[in-house]
Amino acid sequence: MILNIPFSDIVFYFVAVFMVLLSIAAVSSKNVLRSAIFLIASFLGTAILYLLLKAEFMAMAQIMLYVGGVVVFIIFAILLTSHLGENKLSTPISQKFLAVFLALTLLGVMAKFLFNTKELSESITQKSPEASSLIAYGERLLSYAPNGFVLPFEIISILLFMTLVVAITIAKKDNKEEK
Amino acid sequence: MIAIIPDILLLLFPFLMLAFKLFLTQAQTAHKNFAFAYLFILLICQNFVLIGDTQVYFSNWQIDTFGIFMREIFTLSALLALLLSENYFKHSMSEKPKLFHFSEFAASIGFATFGGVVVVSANDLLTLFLGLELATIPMYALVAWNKRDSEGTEAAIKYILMGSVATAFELFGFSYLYGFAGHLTFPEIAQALQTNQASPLIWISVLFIISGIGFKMTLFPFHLWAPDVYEGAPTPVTAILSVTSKSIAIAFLTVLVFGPLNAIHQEIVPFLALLAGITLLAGNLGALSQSKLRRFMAFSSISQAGYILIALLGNSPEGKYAIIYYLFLYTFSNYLAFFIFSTISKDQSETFISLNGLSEKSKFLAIALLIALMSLAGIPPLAGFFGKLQIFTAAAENKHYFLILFAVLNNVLALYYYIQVLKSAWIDKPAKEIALSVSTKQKTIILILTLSVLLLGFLPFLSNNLSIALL
Repeated sequence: MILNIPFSDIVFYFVAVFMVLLSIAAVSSKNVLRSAIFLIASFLGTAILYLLLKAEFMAMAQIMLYVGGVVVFIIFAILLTSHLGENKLSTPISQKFLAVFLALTLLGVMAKFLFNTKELSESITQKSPEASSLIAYGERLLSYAPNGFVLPFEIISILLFMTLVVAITIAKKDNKEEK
Repeated sequence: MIAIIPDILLLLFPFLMLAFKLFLTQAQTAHKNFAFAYLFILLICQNFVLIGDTQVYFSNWQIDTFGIFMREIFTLSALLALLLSENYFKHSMSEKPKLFHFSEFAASIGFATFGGVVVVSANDLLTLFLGLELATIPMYALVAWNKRDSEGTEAAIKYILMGSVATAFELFGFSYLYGFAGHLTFPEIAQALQTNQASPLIWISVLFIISGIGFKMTLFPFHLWAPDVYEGAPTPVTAILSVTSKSIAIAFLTVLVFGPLNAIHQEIVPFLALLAGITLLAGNLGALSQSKLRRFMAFSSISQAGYILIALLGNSPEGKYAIIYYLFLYTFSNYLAFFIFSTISKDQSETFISLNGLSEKSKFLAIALLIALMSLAGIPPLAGFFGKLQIFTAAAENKHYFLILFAVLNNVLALYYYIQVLKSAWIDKPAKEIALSVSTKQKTIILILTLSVLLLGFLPFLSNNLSIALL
């Protein structure tokens, strides 16, 4: 019986359990710096899951962007901001019983739905032919064809520009005339 | 290629406003007038776009009749919001410090409006999601625009935290929809739903998508942020939140429910009906005991969201028509109320007490307030009544009589609190005299809006043309 389980499944459950534990540690840690470190570890877990799904490019992007970029940036921000990493955070939840009850209900509902889904247990993970190479990725990203993503790609650039403009406006120091 | 020109002009607007700030630093009033004129001309341009068959640009940018009308609502709302904000940039209003950076303010509103256009033109889940984000992120910043107002900053932090969680819910729902259909584009999702309706994955996805968008539409269990944020934000931003942000969320849900999810429309309906009913009741009960005007408007707009949701119970063209019609009239009525609140709040905060004695100081404003609130309450022959009539008609076609009855009973409750506001404007005597100063420009805008609310309902050109276009 045990021999029937493919090795990739064992790896999946191993990584998944670790990710759940690390995520809980990240949100429940009293120290911001530690939370960030747990976050890095759980992002690495996500990268391994991508590899199991045969999405090498996504795994690479996950490590380069999230582990290498975003979280390191967060850690720098914590370390450079005076005293942010030193004080203990207190995150009291006023209605603990209700919160746990709701979370468990949601988990139960999800589990009930997902165990009833036949497609999930029957289908085999395989690489989709469209995403076979990095060149195919890039071409599809910038293609005008109905399955191309040039429109969302352009909208993301507008979104980022807009976010920069409003963030700078909110964050910049007041001019003399404004005081 | 005509239909896409207004979209490009709209996208150009924020960039022009920022360029204005960069190169013409001295022209203080010029860039305000430029913004008003630009959006007004844009609104006229949008009216020249011919309705009819769906046109597709860049293979995924869809312009259909629903989208054309929604574009006009978004632009109208942006124009009115900028006009409303003008005084808030001149001097301190409603006991809050005055606002700065008009160009960036106008640019953010322009981007948010473009986000709405992206939502109604999207043909795949990714573009749809990005459109909603483009419309939401500037709102977070706009709420915190008044840096020296700690209330505004608090409201913005609440908004951004809860908004991010809602976005995560939405994306989670989308990921299940994608996992189910295997495609991101709407026609392919619709096809997958046609062939396989029983998959539990759809239900998880619908549950999470409606939770996420329910936050942005202020539906019942997700509405608790609205009163705090509406109260903390500067008044013009509150007006934008209650009109633009809400219409975009409704457009988002309409695009999904009557688009890719149309095959399971009948199965989603009980869920939507339940949400609509509870939202109506929660909004109305909350509004009963308010004393601050913006908080009051927050609860009022929560119950309006409940009404609009009822239209989604109808079938495709009628439901869409009712939503567009209602949103047009809601935009006029809501902005009229906000314009009147802005005239009384020059030297005092926006509370019911500040309205006291309005009928003696200015009969014109008091009558305009009467018309605005009665229209929001849905009293014939004002515009709001005809909007509600269309919504109920759309729902009645699918025989949701019980919900309609419940909504009409709720209307009675709503009438009570709208009349409370009128009581403080018409009957209650003011404790101290504060002189009103209303500029000719404000008077003109209030007059135009009042006439629109009065006449748009029963002058048939709007409703007839809309119904011919859509039905």
